[in-house]
Amino acid sequence: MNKYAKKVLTNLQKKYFWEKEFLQAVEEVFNSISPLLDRAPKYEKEKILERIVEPERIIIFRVPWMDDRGEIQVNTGYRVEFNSAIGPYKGGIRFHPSVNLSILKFLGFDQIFKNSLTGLMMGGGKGGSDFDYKGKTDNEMMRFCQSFMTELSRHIGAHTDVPAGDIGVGAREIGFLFGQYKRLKNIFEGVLTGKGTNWGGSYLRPEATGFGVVYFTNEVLNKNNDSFEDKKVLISGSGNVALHAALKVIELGGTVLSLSDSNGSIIDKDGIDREKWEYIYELKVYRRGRIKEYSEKFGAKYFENKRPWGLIKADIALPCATENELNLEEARALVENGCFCVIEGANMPTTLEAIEFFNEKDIIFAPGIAANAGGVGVSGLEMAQDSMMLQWTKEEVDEKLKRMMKHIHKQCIEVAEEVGTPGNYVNGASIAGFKKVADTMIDQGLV
Amino acid sequence: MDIEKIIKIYDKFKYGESIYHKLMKQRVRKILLISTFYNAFVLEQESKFSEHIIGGYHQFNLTSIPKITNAINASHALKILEKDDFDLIISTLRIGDPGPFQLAKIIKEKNKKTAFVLLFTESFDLKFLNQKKFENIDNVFLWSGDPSLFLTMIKLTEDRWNVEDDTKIGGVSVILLVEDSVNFYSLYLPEIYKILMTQTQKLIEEEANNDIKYLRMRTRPKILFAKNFNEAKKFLKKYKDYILSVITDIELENKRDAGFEIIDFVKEENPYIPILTQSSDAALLKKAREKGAEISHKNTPFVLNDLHMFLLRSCGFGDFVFRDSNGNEIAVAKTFNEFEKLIEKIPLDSFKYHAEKKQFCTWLIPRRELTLAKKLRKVKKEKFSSLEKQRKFFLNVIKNIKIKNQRGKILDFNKNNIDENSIILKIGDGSLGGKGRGLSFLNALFTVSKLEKKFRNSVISIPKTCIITTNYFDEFIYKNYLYIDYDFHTDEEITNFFFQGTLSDNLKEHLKHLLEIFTKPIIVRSSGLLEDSQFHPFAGIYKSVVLPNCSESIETRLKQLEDAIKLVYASVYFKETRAYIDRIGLKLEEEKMAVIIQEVVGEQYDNFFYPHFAGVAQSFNYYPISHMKKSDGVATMAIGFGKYVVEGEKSYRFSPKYPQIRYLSLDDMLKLTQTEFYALDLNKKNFSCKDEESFIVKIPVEIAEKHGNISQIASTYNIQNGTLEPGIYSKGPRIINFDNILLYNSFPLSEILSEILTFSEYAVGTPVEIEFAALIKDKLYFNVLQVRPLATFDEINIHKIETLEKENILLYTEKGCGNGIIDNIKNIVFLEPELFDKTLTMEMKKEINEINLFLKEKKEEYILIGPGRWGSRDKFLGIPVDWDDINMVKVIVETGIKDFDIEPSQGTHFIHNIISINIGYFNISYYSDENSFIDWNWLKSQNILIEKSFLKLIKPEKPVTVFMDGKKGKYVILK
Repeated sequence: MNKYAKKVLTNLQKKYFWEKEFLQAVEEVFNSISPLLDRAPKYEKEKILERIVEPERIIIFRVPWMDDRGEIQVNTGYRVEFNSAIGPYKGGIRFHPSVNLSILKFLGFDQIFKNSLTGLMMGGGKGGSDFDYKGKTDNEMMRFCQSFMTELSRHIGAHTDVPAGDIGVGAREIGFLFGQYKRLKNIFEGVLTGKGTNWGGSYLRPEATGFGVVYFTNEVLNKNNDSFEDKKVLISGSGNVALHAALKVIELGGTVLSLSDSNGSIIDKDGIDREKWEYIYELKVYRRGRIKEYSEKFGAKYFENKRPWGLIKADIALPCATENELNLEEARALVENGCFCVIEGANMPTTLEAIEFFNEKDIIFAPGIAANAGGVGVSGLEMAQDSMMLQWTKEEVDEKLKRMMKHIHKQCIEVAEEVGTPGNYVNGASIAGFKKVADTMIDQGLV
Repeated sequence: MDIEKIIKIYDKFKYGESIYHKLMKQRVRKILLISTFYNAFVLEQESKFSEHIIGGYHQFNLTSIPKITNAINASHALKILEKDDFDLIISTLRIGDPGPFQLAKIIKEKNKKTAFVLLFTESFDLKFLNQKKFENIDNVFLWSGDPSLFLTMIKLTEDRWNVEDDTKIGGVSVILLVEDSVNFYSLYLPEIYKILMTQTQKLIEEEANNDIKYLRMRTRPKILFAKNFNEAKKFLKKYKDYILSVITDIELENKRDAGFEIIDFVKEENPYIPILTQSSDAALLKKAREKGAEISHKNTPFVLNDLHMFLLRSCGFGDFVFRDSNGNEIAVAKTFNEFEKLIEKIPLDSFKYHAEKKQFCTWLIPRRELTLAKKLRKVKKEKFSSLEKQRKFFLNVIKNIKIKNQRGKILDFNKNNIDENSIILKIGDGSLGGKGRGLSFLNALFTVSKLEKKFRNSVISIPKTCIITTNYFDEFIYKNYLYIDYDFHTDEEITNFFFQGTLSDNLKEHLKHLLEIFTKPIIVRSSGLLEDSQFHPFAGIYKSVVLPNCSESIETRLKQLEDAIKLVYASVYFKETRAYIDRIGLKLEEEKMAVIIQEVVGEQYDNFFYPHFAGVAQSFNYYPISHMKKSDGVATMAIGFGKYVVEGEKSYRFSPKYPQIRYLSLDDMLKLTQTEFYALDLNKKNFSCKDEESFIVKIPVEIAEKHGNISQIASTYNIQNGTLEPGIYSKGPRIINFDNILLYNSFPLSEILSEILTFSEYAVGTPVEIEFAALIKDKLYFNVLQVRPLATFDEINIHKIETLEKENILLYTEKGCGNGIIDNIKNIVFLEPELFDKTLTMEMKKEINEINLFLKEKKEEYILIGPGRWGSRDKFLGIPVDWDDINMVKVIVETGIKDFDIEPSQGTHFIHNIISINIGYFNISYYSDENSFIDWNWLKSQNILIEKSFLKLIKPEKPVTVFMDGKKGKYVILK
């Protein structure tokens, strides 16, 4: 770790020794940006790290509410407004008994850089409450959300702080929160994202992450004067990200050879075409059946309890299922079977050993923080639509998404080169987000 | 449901239809008899007065025997009256000072309701009638030596008190006696009462239940007694709709033809009311006959016989004689069923003849058809445009009342008298078996509690059922000589022995007729004597067979039914049954099997047959969440047959008391919702009765959607917005969560379940489990298939936790969920609290995944013990395992973390698996106390099989046993 970073971290550890989650997140970020800090002393001079680890504002408030039995309940509400250098604070609200300041600071800190990477005007923040959403009725949920927003509304706004959903805060809660905000402020504005499409939400939210992964991959291929045409692609998972990634690969001319679920993988050497994809979508999204049924229907091979890596020769791997689903052994099998490019669709699906192995073998590897930023990005697109008071069509959102992923890719490449590790998407992605925010903070003076 | 309501239902259940219970509310309970020593001596000698009163009550199944107090004179009586109140005072004439007239005045001033009857002991006393004022005397009688006169005094008083309510509430009929001669009515009234009581009693002799017998006596016609025309006219006006007949003297209060005025008055109101006139003057009688009344000469020996015959005819005690318009007999109905059939057949003019005379009602009332008579009485003939329509209405009312009356009863199966509406039929004279008893009980309980009336848009019942009683089982074993040493044979061999046997011809004949009315698919279930006992739940021990019952050939259907019965019989001797019966300390020889044949609840769609939804509800919830209490109960439901629920598949779980509280988050609902369901495939060709469920198939929920059956049951997930919309109006993944019913109350299902669970638990006296199946049509047709005591830890009763030695306990806690015993656990995976680092939980997850895989290959289960919330989505709060990482676990233990107060997860992360596979979930505080401790040292001292950086897999020398007393909330793992 860079010395300056180490010094700041040590001081932080002394100051906030009980905030283990937050300190761990800071350490990880400091490690990843060390190559930049080594080359750019201005950040130390401007005390950027000391400034960036301290939230601009933390709001802690009481959330009293009444349950269905008429009993009074009290929870604690938080909003960590971490950094607004490049745009209004932006980050989810989490309702979960585990919520405390340390966790919110950790999440908010990470959010600054994720948002920055999208190239959209979004700062970083996080909020929530130690409220347990499990076992609550719709009415209780509504009363809680209304009470929570009654206080929060004083601190947020479409151009100040735009929260989104997170654990325990889904479309229903966003609706309750938005309704109360509107009632209190008498303003219909994009103060929250994740809204319903009838009232200011954006289209393409379910598709965004999967499509984004493929757009990013396409940029990677284009940079190497290549394209999806005739490329054989292995995809793991069969959820939202995997299915939409598969669809976009098919649209861009690639051949999807696999999908999987927690019971096993199917390998279709003839490729999953649009018609087969429709079948799988119906199977997994509507019927919630097992992927095995695909093999029975189309005669594809089914591998029980196996992930698709290395089961067939392929050019590209898109792990889109879950954490740690691609280990060293599987990485080796992939490379042996001709894979030259691994782009993460899920969050941290590749183990550290596997990433190191890909680096050793000069396999193109892009981390989820960049490649799956489509999901985060679509929130930014929702803010943009709200500020203009209009709603883009699916196609329009898709077009903006494509442009956004292109931008993310470009930043990764440029920053990776800047720090002397050309082609290293891990470095590029980790540093680019930080760099944009840090530079902006310098631009805006000591505020 | 509160306790008062339950007690009311209990009373109805005990006493039968509430209408009887409401009759004759006011009783003479205390009598004061004022007579001198001499009179008392005379009365006692001549009549054994007190004995006769008691005897009379017993003879006529009358309850509330009054208590009699004696006073020797008026002053003594006044002293007694100072301390006590009486309903009826019977006084002889000579009682000292004050005399009876003054005494009556004093008493009436004190309590107007008290009846005062003056009893003359000698004819000589009658002369006082003209001298004294009788305004405070309710009645005067002359002692004739007939002890039943006392009963008459009591009943006449009671009739006077009750007539107004009983006519209104129960439509009870009234007989009016108009007579001014004390000596005559003192003879005559006791006779009338005797006849009425004897005849009423005859009609209810078949009633097995004594309580009901007593109650039915209350339906006898009331007698009103008038002494003059004005009094008679007042009664006739007031009770004109209820007057059954009139008996009148012609000469009243010195007016020679007062009786004719009465005849005219009655005939004007209703020309068909029978009138019996009495006189000692033949000329007057002749005239009375001309006016259309029947006559009886007072001075002949036939007077009582005339009375008897008149009452038999006019009160409907005899057979119903159908007559044509000229009064000629055309048919006779002895029973109610014959009556019903003849009504349909008789010519319309005959129908008109009887309807106009209101004779149908007259005949129906003493036959317990009070409600029917009441209903018919209210209808005016003008309401109908034709006689045929009137007859149809009449038949319809009869049919509906009959259905109502049959509900709650078990009727003997009779091929000549099969009634399609009968819900429970019985073949045989033996026992109904455990389940059969339970069903019959439930049926009766439902009937008296009138559940369906409480809930809008709902019909609550049990499916059409026939029970073959245990005597046929005995006969089958005996006839086919199936006394085999079953220990030496496999289940398959036993089945073959039974299949080779034959059922009796008599039973086969019955079954064949039964199949004429049971035309839907049927389920053939066991009903062993020992089954469903409160202490030994037999769920799943015996066989049940589902039959499509749809072959065109009745012979084929009969053969399948016979085979199914044989399989149920054979299952008494299967290995599992023998072991179970042995384990609970019973003897196989004690078991006898009745068989339940029940129509399967469902509808046919294409070739599939299924209920719209079915499930199981328990009055005790071992896994409450949020503010639910364990006693609030829980229900689990799914589309199609309840097998889906019983087998722990992805069904919807909720508390009927809190249907708004969801067990699962939206994400989890999406993952864990029902996607398939069980139905009967009526086209399935390969079928064997040896296979219990060869017709049952699992098919996708989309098929039920295509059949149009899930609009009330499913919600739709809006993929674009991430919201849940009740119903299936838009395209999107369906979630089977019954939102329209449970949240938006399209049918009052949760109220129905709550009510049934509450009163079943009260009725059975222990927590219960019910199985149900329902159809959603214009109404919710809710069928209860079974009620059985819920197996609780106490009832399994193998160990008492309190008696365990602490050194033998690995873990004890009072925070947890689960119920029952899990034994033979050979592996324990644990993480010491000191090694827990919340920043490294992903590493720990990886370790547990590897250990789980290792045990999965060996097919061995384990107990998982570790700090924080297992399966938390927040990786700092516990190890964020997915179900696949720990799917061999049998017990999950969450232990506390030092200085970190984490609310226990209640196992919510894996709630579906925990419930359906009966996994134990325990929580232990970091700081031990007597209510929560774990022996870490023992864990650390065991053989380590796998040791990772954080987690260890140990294999104790002997397997550990887990006891979960879900009811008391005590959980133990024994070393």
